[in-house]
Amino acid sequence: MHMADPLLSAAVGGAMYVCSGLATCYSVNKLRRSEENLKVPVMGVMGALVFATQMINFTIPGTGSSGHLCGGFLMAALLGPEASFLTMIGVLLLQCLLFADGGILALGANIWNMAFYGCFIGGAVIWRLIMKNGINKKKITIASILGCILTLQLGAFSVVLETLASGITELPFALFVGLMQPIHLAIGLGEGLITTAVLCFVYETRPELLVGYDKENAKKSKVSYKTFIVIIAALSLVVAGVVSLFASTHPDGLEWSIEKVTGDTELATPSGIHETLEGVQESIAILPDYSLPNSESAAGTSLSGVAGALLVIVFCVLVGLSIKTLKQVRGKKINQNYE
Amino acid sequence: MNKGIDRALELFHDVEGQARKRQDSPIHPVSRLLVTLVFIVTTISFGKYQMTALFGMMVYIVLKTFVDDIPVMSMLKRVKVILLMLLLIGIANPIFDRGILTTMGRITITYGMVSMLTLFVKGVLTVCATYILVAETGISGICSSLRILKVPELLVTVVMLIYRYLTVLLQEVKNTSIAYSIRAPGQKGINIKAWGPFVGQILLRSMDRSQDIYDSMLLRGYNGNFDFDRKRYKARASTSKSLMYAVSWIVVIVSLRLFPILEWIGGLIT
Repeated sequence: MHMADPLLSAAVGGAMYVCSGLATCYSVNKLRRSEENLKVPVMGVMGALVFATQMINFTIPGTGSSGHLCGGFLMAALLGPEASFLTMIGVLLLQCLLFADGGILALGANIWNMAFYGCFIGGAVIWRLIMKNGINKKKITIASILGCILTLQLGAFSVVLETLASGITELPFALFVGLMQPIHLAIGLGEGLITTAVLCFVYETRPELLVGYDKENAKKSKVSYKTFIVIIAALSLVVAGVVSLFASTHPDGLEWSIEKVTGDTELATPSGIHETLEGVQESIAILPDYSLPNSESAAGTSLSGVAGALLVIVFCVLVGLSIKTLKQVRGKKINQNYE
Repeated sequence: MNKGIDRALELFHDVEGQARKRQDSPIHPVSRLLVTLVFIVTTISFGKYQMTALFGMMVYIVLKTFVDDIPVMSMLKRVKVILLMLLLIGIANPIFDRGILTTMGRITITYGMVSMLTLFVKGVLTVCATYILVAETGISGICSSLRILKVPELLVTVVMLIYRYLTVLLQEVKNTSIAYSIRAPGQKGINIKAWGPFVGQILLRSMDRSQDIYDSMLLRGYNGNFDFDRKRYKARASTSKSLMYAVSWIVVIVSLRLFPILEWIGGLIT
């Protein structure tokens, strides 16, 4: 995901430097105040370790491909968000200078896309929320996979926005997002699995190294699926509400194809059953065309995103409950057969 | 399995060797860093169809390569890294931007083709400029410059420490990787069952090592402040030469951006 210099305009590159610079100042001040100078050598060695392990291929079973460790979330779980953020800056700077991975002008954007999301959203929000009442392996798995996927998705989305804002590519927004997000979903999952494996190993051998580890609460803590579901629901609402504001006003892939064939994004409405059903749909649709009726406002678009997320969550819960019920029924039948 | 690590070690030693060759240069690293920043920003500021004007910026790269004896092959190796990404993003330009710019015989040149080529040229120029900076000053020179430019000491210290321990940890990861491949011959990567112990073992050893490093730093009088070789640079760098170097290069670079110098020179010939 490293962006090269030519993918950014000087203005966007400068703006991203300012954003990353603010996060850097915050981290430096926080570490200074907390007098955690002790962490400096740990940060250096951890940075070098992440740099080195990025060169290793991890075989992903069943795919024939391999994954790599990016390390932002892993370091945030071991060093805390601020220290890991500064360490990731060091890693990114050296990657840019030594190996031409990224560029000097694009460093601000790369720090934001890879270090900020991984360390602050991943480490300060997801890790801390999930580990609030103690750490265990299941929580580590949930946090690592969720954290890596979400932070990589945010990073990939930022790459799209930064490149388009710079006016570098002619790729339409929808196509660019459609290319970037699914690729990074797979990468995020791969990284999440590797991070899980490493953090679980650390938890088994030296749990005191993990951020938020409390010896006394460790045994008491249980996996709270309720908390997990609440977090997922809240994140979905935030992502849907905020990201839908950026929903493209251009036709999507299918509409684009129809436009090329017919000259309009809508197909001609034939009379009969189609017309009747369309009338019914329009009359019952709460949010036609993803917005409030007769409204083009951003609030309407956001509300549509939130409503969509809620519907998906309700649907998933229903499917999950159905599967659970089916399993229980089948289990009972098997038990009866044995008896 | 260790190709990546070997390549990283090779690039690392290359940069170190280049910087060592030029360690007695009278030009202060800050001047070099500033000139590189101006060069990169100026290069990026060219419009997406201004390919011919962009070629003027090659003057800096070519002159630096010859005058400072920069190894061209090492420089071009780094260009390879970004070409794939630029290709992925740039390939869309000829597809979506089909406006015809000119025709040369039977070949039609579109705006999209030009903007894609401009992207590549910008990529090559910026990577070359970065390599020249690193080869001339080394990472310690850049860290020293960052401190002079008031980048927080904590951050610069972390960069320096990562750099110092990079070869050690690359070698350690390589050794562990060799040990793994001997036990699991014929495997392309690390098996899923070994993911945790593989990285985890190195991680735990590294954490212990960092504690040893910290203890030894304290024993040698570390009080949270690094010198970053500032005294060394101050002693050998000439202020007037550094200033002249920076001003003259910045004037050349900005002139190449503002005036169509290449066209004027071309006009003299044709």
